[in-house]
Amino acid sequence: MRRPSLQSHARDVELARRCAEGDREALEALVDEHYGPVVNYVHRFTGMREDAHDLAQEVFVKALRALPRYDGRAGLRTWLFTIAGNACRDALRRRRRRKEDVADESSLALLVDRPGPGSGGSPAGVALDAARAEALRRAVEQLPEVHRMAVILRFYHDMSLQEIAEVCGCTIGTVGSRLHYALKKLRKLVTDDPEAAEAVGAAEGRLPG
Amino acid sequence: MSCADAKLAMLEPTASLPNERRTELDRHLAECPACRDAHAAVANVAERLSGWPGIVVDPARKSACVGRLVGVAGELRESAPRRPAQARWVVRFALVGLVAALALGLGPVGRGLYGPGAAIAWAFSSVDRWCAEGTVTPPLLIGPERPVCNHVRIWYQQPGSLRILVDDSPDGPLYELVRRDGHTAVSDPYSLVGHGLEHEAQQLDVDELFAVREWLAAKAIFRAPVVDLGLERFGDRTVRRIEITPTGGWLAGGGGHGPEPIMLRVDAETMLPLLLETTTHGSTIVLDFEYGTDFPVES
Repeated sequence: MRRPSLQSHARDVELARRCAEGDREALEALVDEHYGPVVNYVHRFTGMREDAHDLAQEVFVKALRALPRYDGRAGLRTWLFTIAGNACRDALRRRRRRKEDVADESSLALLVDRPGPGSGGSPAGVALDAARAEALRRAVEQLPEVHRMAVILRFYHDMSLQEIAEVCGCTIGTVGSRLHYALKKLRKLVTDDPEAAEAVGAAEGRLPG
Repeated sequence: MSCADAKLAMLEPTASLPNERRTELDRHLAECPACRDAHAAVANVAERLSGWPGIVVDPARKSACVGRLVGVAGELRESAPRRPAQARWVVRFALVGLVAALALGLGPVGRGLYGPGAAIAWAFSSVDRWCAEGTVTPPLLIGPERPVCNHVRIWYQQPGSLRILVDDSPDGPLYELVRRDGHTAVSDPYSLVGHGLEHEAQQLDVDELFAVREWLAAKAIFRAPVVDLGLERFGDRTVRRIEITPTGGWLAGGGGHGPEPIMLRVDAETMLPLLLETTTHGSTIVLDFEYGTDFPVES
């Protein structure tokens, strides 16, 4: 298991202390290191893109208010992701209450500018990546929240099972079970999604040779 | 390495897997076709997932965030002074005293199946473990959680470390549930909850029920109607009261009296859970998520 080293632990505690005192330099360091991961976590967890920045900012504000209670037992990153996870769940509950589907489709647009792995940068390859990514995105969004959370933390934030367990407040065994369940379901969702299969098939047809 | 170990190890990021474990996993994969297939499937989905692009953060967004945080930090400095740090220690010692007193027979714990010695040992062991330096405790579990009900007392510091003490008549419903498969002493939460609910045929997803906290917060509950009862002052902080009415699972059973609402108090700022209270099968259950605050816990 990857455990926070003593050095990083001491650094986290010191950074948290300075942030709690309102030290601008420390706040900049905190945001510089964690804002990107948090905003991406929020984006992938909730499916919201435009609102992700507002939500991420809320996470940092909540964390700042809670910093006096941060005791360094968990890494600062893990702690922030726990607060972010709660904020995401809350946002999703609010969204369900409003009965609005605000999940945006702009991931596809972004893909055109940023070729994925294996595309070779060709237009057909980019389209294939986009179709696959879109199918995956849709599939991930269909996962139950706890499974989605585990998948995102593991595969987009490279967290160890121990860290995910800390974020989710469960055991490593639970995380393992959730990940296996989620991956199995993802495979099934992607295979069973005719729209995705068609999109991938069409894009594959455009690939040379 | 067993197949179960291999399935867990193959999920770890490469950087998190020690070399010797990596070697064991490779050796196991070479010998086990089923795990080899599982491993290939994990790698395949992981590779596909990498195609979902992220948000590239504009530096202006970070600056805006820092600006807001500086403003909030200023507001916080001007707000009321915090409780002295010593207070937490006073409360910790008070807990030790309370638990010891209960275990000695002043309360319901210890009068039934177990002698006071064992009860004290458990209580102190729990507190000692909590105070030990170097332990990594999830932020949601900053103190020993102390679910209390009329018949069962449970201490656990982390979901994987559950200590349970049953004080109920041998034919009581909670005792019966816990006793299944011999889960009457120090128990593994997965076995306890999983087996307990399996036997009760509650039709819940056992995979998700590894810990008592999760059991109570299982999706069957959170899919239930939720009412936000607004903010209130609770000790030295502002909390949001949320009422949940379970529609499925063991909690909805209520011993034939229909579902009892679950009252959940969460920190208004962080939304982290603080206190959960409910009644089921004739017993009151209180989950105190953050020991150290001055909560009026009913027993």
